This record gives sequence, C-alpha cells and structure tokens, in this order.
Amino acid sequence: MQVDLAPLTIEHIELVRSWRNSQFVSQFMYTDDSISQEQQAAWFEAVSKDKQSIYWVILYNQQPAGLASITNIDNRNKKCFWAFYLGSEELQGVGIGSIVEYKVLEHAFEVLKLNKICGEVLKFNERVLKLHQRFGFVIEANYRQHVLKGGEYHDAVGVGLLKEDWDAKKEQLKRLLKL
Amino acid sequence: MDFDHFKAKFVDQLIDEDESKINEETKFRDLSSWDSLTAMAVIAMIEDDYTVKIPDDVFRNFVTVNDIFLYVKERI
Repeated sequence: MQVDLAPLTIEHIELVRSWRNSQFVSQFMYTDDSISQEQQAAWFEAVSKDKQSIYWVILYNQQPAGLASITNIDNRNKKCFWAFYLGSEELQGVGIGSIVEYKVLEHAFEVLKLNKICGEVLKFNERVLKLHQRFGFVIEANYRQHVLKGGEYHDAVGVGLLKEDWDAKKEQLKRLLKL
Repeated sequence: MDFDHFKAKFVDQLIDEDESKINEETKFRDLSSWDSLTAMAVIAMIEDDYTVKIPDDVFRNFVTVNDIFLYVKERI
C-alpha cells in the first residue's frame, strides 16, 4: 500500500470541497454547512498564506484520497494541532488512516521539531479517538456541549501527544505499518 | 488450519473486543475496536504467521472474518 502526503494545490480544492460537503465527511466535522465554490477559494487563499499551517492531500496508490493538516503551529511552545479525513467510506478500515497519522506525526516531531501535537475529536467519533489513543495520544480535555451541529450540542474531546511518548512508540508503529 | 485457530490470532490483534461475539459471519469493520491500525496489525499478523501477503485492494473487498480466513486458507 502506497500512502503519501502531497502539498495541497489549487488544482485539488474542488475535489476537497466535494469531500468536505459529503455527508460521510461532514458528519465528523465541527461544521456541516455546505461550502460554496467561492468560500472554498477564499479558504484556500487564506491557508496558502498561513505560515502556521500545512495542508496536504493524502494520496493512496497515487490517487487523491483525503486531506491532512497541521495547524496553529506555535514555535514558542513547540506545539500544533492536527487533523485528517478520508474522502470516501470505501477507503476506511484498510490501514490508510494509520499511515497518514504516522507520517503527519513524524513530520511534526522530526521535521518541525515540535514537542506536542494536539487534536480535537467529536466524542461520538469513537473510532478516530481510539486510533489516536493507539498512537499514544492521551485525553487531556472533555469539552461539554462544545459544538452546535445539526441543531444539537455535541461533546468533544481534546487529545495530546508528547514527543517523549512518540519516541517511545514510533519504532513499534513503523514496524507494524511496514514503513 | 481451522477457523478457530485463525480466529484466536485475529482476536489477538483487537483491543478490548468480546471474543464470543466474533464468528465467521462477523463484519469485522463493524467491530467497535476496528480501526485503521487494527487493519494493519491483522495484515501484518497474516504475513508473519501464515506467510500470506494480502494486497490492500484485495483486503478492501473483504467483508467478514470468514472472507479473510478463506483467502489465507487457500494460500497456505
């Protein structure tokens, strides 16, 4: 299985918009309002200029398959946030997400030399929460009624992974993922 | 190799899963413990323990535990 991260370019943004507007992806996002072509173009312009963020298109066997990002890079405190999604349900549960997670964490810790990576997950998205925990993320916060979505408030969970925990796990993960 | 032998090794890759709930017809992606890393762990276990390599486009089409078992059984 070949999974790569390629820099997000303007050629990808309509495909990314179609993923983001799909029910499969938006069900796990903080907002599920439909995104227009103009909003997407404005978002891309903003993230292109944002020096505290990196966006990648996930390539599965060389085909675009999802989006991954590192945001809020804080060089003073050596930390950032990260997130990812796959664009279609057929790509779930075959191992792609775990390779993406490894590669993004590796970039944050080994290339950007950060000390901590944070994430937020809607509490009902148990599968992704468990995946993060298997990579060593620890639940650091329980946010009650954190997100208003579909007319209902939802709880969210804040997770964090320290460099020292990554160092203890990365070789084992690398072997398992055959990287 | 019979199914129970394979099932024992399969269950070893799952975290906090009730073994009694798993049988031939279990749709493994519906298991609460199933995630992307579990998929990689199962594929690695099959490669290491049975010397059977499962291409990811083949694995994507498996639905039940028995689908995986039969693929491995036919190749050992």
